[in-house]
Amino acid sequence: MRVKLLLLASLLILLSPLSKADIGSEDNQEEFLFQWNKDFGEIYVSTKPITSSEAIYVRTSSSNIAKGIPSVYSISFDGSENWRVENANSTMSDMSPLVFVNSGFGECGNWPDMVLVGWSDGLFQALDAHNGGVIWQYNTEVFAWGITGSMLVESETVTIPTRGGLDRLCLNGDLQFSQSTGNGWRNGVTHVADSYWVGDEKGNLWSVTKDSSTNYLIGAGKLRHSPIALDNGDLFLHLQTSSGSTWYQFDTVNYTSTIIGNSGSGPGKPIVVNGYIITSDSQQITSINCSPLCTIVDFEEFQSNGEISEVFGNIILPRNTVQGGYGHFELLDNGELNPLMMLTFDDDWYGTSGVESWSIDGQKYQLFVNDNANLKLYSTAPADTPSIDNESSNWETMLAMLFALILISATSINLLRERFQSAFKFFILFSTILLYFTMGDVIQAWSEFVTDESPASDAWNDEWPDEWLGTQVVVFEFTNRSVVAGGLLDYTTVLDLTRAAAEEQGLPLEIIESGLGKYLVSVDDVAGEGWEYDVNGQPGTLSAEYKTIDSDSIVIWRQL
Amino acid sequence: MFQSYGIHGPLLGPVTGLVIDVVLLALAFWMLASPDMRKATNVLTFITLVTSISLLRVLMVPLPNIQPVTIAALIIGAQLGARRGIAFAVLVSMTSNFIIGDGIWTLYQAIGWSTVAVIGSASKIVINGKLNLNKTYVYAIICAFLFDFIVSLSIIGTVSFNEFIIYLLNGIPYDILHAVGNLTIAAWFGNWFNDSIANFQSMEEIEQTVVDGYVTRT
Repeated sequence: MRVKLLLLASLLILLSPLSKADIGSEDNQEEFLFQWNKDFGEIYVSTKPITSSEAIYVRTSSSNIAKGIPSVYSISFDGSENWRVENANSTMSDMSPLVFVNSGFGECGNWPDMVLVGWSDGLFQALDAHNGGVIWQYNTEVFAWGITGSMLVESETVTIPTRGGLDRLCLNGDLQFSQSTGNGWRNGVTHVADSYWVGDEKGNLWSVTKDSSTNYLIGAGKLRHSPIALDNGDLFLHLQTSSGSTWYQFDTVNYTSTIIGNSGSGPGKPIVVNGYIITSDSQQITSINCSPLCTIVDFEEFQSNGEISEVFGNIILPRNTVQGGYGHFELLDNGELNPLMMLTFDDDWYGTSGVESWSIDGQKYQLFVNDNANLKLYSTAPADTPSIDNESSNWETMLAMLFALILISATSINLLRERFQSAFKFFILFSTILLYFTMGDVIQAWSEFVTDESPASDAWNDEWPDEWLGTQVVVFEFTNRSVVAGGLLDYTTVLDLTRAAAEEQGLPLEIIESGLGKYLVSVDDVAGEGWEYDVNGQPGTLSAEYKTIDSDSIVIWRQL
Repeated sequence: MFQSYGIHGPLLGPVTGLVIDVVLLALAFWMLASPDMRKATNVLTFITLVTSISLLRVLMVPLPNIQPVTIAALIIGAQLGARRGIAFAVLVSMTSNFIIGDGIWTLYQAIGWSTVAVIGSASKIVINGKLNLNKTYVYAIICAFLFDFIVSLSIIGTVSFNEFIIYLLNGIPYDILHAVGNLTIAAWFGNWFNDSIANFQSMEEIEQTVVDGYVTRT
């Protein structure tokens, strides 16, 4: 009997909830390690991959159908392909950046999680982010080519720079207005001072509203980026000219433009980092301060003609030469640029795609891809490599695995000896341990299977700001007050979202471990008779730790 | 399934809670009121059973829905009869929940395990003092689902019928874990537990002893 009791005690220790250590803390090494790559073949990629909480999305481009069909891919975070959508009619440069849109609703209807794609044959598609199905599509004007610029997504609309104009659609696909402009290429759209602003291939800047479109000549050249909105309402422009390029500051009230300076040819797409405008071209990367008048702060020699990315506080941009690689720069507080290093890879080549980056629990990820169309994921700590911090929990897992192995061996030995009762004893103990360790995943999968999710509109409060539409919202209903946090994105469980909302609102949470999952004991030191939650008006039926949510879910915690 | 940390049952006021506790205690003592309980050894054995199983339940709280009380109630019901099985179920529910957390679910857990004890008493899983393990396994699985269903009834009144069905469906993985846990406990400790309480006379045996004594004297 003592042996049995010892066994029970060991089991209790083994099955006690494992302590979940933080992964990839700030102390971890910053070295990025290769995780996986996906080669799309004899085709190229010109635009930055994008991510949602569930997948990576990347588009390929081709000018020759024999080398590959331009496609949009959804790739899981382990590198496997979820789905792809091809467009054999699109054989020009497909460089319109993809945009992910969270599910939501507005005055013109509902829409699910979508990937918006503008094709160079003029087709504009809203793809279901989960399976690639076409939710709706819309044909735009084609003159040699169709859409190549950057669309603008606002709360419930998308504005598309078409080949010869600007079309605004509701996110359910309904056309709201269409206006003509000059022909554009890689031009993007910006919304400032009640107008949409877009450049064209003749150096015009167009102001577009629902009822009109007006052009203002900036200079002889081409505007091939989204104008940058400045704090004072002006616009920053980088005009490509026959001899190089010129920076302008455009006054949207008086419609006058001021030259800031000149630079090299083939301007890239400027971005704003820490209040400074960062531009690139074949000559240099430049930092410009525009508060209120634009002046050049610093520059470094570097050739880049595509997308510039802010990556974990620094700047990374692709070198568009046969040697390829990526320039890595630090932007100091005073706007000066400090070259850090060149990032080089085995497949370096010409490139214009930006670098997608994100971090989860302190673990940092970076996605690189160039004209060789070889997508590569790097991260600070591989998902399958134990870090120092979680060594103890892995040790416990290994011990449990060893214990399970012993149990399976004992089952087998007893079966061979035809001692079926003993074999059953070991087998059922093994089953219990197995079920215990997989319980979290089982509960989540089962809950998603049996529960019909209600739409977020069921729980939406009209008093909340419109900016929160399509985002995650958390309400803490105390008996005598309510605290609301909205505009949250990409949290996958009720508990994660609740923690983020509480942190944003400065509310301390007390959460305890239990056999049924984590349990919220108190909010802002108020425990009451307990707390229970609803998701989109439906009562939660399992621990907040296991309850998965959508990108627009509304979670309400009620004090009992 | 119960206590999934989503929906809570109806809240109890202090007076309602007290009334339920008193009713449960009264039920337990009424069930225990029998001639053999005048023997100090039997009383001590029963207290030991209640205390040890309550303690075991508290210790096993970190394990989701693995309930040693279910198998204990089943075997006690089979060995000692329905009355003492019910008394055991009520006292273990109250004692362990005093530490784990008291609420409306205590009442439903007491009813659930009492039902298990009654089923045990009618199950014939113990014949001539020996536990029939194969039969016990079947009852262990049935009782896991039955107990969980009874405890799930505690949320009625706070949710709609559809929500109740969804709640039950969400609880199925927990029910399965309860059933598998029951099988494990029965397989590893069933015989030992049965033998430990075999010397504790059942009500029927006491009645038989009294009748035999009377017959002998006359």
